[in-house]
Amino acid sequence: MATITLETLTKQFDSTTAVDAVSLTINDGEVLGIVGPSGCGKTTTLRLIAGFETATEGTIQYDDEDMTHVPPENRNVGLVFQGYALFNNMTVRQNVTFGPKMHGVRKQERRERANELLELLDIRELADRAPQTLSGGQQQRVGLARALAIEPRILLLDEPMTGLDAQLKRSLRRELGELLDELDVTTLYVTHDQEQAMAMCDRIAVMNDGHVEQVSTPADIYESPANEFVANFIGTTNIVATNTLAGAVDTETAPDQGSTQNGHRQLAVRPDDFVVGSGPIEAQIANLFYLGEQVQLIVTTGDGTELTVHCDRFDADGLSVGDQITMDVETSRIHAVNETQ
Amino acid sequence: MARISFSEARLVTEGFTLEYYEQLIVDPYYRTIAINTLWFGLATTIVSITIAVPVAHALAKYDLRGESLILTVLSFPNSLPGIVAAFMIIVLFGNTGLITNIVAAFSGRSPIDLAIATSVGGLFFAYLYSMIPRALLLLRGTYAEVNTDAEEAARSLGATPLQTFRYVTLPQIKPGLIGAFVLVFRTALAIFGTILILKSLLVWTLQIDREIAQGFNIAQASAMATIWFGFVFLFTLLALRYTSAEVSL
Amino acid sequence: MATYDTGSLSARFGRQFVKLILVTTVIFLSLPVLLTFVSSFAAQWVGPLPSGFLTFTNWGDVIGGTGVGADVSVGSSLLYSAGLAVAGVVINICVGVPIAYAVARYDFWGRSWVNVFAILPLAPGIILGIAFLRAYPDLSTSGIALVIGYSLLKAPYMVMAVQSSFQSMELRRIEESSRSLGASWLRTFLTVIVPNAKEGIVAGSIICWTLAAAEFNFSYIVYSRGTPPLSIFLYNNITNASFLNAAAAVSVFFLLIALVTIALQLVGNQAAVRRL
Repeated sequence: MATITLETLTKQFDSTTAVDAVSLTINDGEVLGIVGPSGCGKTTTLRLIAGFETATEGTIQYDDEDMTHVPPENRNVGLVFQGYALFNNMTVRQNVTFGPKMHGVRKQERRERANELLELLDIRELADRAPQTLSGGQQQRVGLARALAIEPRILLLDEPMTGLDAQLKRSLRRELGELLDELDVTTLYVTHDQEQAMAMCDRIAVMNDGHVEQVSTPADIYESPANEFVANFIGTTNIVATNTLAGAVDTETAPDQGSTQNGHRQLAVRPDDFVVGSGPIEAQIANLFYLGEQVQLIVTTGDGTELTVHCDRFDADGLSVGDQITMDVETSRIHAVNETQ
Repeated sequence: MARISFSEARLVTEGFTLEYYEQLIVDPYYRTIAINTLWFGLATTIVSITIAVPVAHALAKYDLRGESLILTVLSFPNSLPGIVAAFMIIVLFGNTGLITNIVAAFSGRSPIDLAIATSVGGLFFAYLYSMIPRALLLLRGTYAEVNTDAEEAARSLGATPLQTFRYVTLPQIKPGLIGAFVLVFRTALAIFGTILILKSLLVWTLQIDREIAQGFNIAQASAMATIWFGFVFLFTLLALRYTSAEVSL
Repeated sequence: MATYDTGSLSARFGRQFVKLILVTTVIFLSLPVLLTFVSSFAAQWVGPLPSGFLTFTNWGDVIGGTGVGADVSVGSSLLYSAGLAVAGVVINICVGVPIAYAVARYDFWGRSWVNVFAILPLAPGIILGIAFLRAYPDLSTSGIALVIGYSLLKAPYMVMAVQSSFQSMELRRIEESSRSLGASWLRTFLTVIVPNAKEGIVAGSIICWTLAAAEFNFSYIVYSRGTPPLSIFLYNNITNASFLNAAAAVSVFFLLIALVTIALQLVGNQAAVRRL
């Protein structure tokens, strides 16, 4: 286990800059998530940390050791791939003992270690099976056991849930979360799925276009996104000008920093920060989706702004498309946003 | 295809004497030729595959400048007939050959003594000239299907590049290697134009030509051709049975 | 710490070693081609390198023909071979396309066998040549034998090229939707399937044509008199003519291959270019 420090890490491919001066610290024992749209540089960052790409500029440190130019086999990182990348020519046990074998661990000891891990991940009975005969969830556990077998300084998970069905994803998410807590291993979790990241990570770094836009706890990122990009990427957000919400938001008491458009400050309002029923904002329902516990309303205000509003399913009783409604905003929860650099 | 087998069948159905086959089995002269053919084919096959593997590896894994030019150069000899391959070797290793003269200049010996084009060594290179591109063609297809993630997984687990190749890449390309071996060996056995010009080793195909050209003994040549065909056919069948190799070309 | 910076032996030198093999191979395969082409413009080659540039005598001998060795001009051989190869390609299209289609579209007994035999050249030129001498002794001296031989020898390349086209199409759905719209099977095949596989057919034709035009082994066994096919012309040059004349003759052949490669690239079939 180790603290990983990235310092102005930059990676250029020909003319494109995939990772642009990223500085980031992954603390000892924490689970850090990197989220962002595809092509934002998150996978390249992971590959730089693992040693499969060479940094154009900047450094990577494991504790106090400079690892920037160390080949991957000497970094001691546990890597779990999107497609698991199991060795199909070996059994499950051989997959798990491969790492220790490469590190020169004695046969008896690596067998014991593999058994322990297979036990921990509840796949002991699969030890002699061929990986291609296992289900997606089982393969993922084997991949995890294989990565953990070398007692890695950092565990790197690259979209480990892609390709699994929704229900399996939910149960694995819980198990994996508990396991990571239990193991207390420094972990980097790369995903485009912000919901996964919110549920599993201690902190989240939101990446866009090679930059880190914000690093903070999941709650903090959701409640006070640093800029428009983060606000839009994490959950659903309405970016609205203060004048649209005139009456509901006191333009004087509204947050005074942040960007402006046509002289009006831009605010980020989550769909569930609206209170439907009464209030100074008048709007017409353009569309209505029943989501289960909540109902999603797409409404158009007097000045033509389209807003996404969530309300309790009981409050939506009797509403239909075309109705005029009035609503208010929870002023304490809204905040100004900066434009994305 | 049916027509080939039909015309092949005509070979043995006419006449009906086993005299020529007997000749092939009894006469030590033919036995020597058969052994020549097999060991030379085997040796050149192994060497060309040994060279083609790292080349295919580099083409698949490394960022190379001018990769498409390299690919064109490497596949160009596939469309050259054997006689041209022989000529290429004369250009390199003949009496006035470039490499002969370079070696001569450094060692101070006469180029004529050093020219290996029309020796068995020259023939070896001539075979490689036709066979390496063929092997590459097949191995590149195999390499395209290698799971790179598994290789990276091995590296991150502490395997050096060489260990990664041995434990992860090699098992994956094994079926392709066997397929390439079968087809390249077939190619080696079928080479005729090259040997006709360089004439340095008496192999089966060259002897077939001699039977016709020097004695107009078509019957003997036919018997030899049938044996050749039967051997390659069985060899391919066996190889296909024991491997799941995807065969192309 | 120091060991981290350097890594294992194969991490440090593996890549250089593999690249060295690559470079050596590329040089081994390309150097003689370049030398041949360059020397065909030289007046003499006695030292390590050809000298006496730039002369067109060798090319003149090849193109115009001389009294000795290569006693005919390259033009007549080239034309003759081109004609024979075209005829072979026509047969290949007629036979190869249906075979490729049948294997790609239908499931029938022995399908995998047909597949294996359609793409494996069963017998090399020399064996097929003997078969011809034996089976059709009267035919063998004429061009017809060469045409049939070429088409048999190169059929696998046509089948493969067309098959790769078919594999990227959803044949069953295309065929079924066309039939449901009222087209007969034959009509479907000729107006829907074949035009869709055009790229593969064109690429296959070019490849078959080149390989047939360059075919030596079969031609050598079967050919006896008259205009020599291109490959026999090359053989006569290599064995009988002066070294530099032979270089020019071989260069003619290189140019032909280069033209064909460019043609294939224009057709846009990269895979076919590699195959060639």
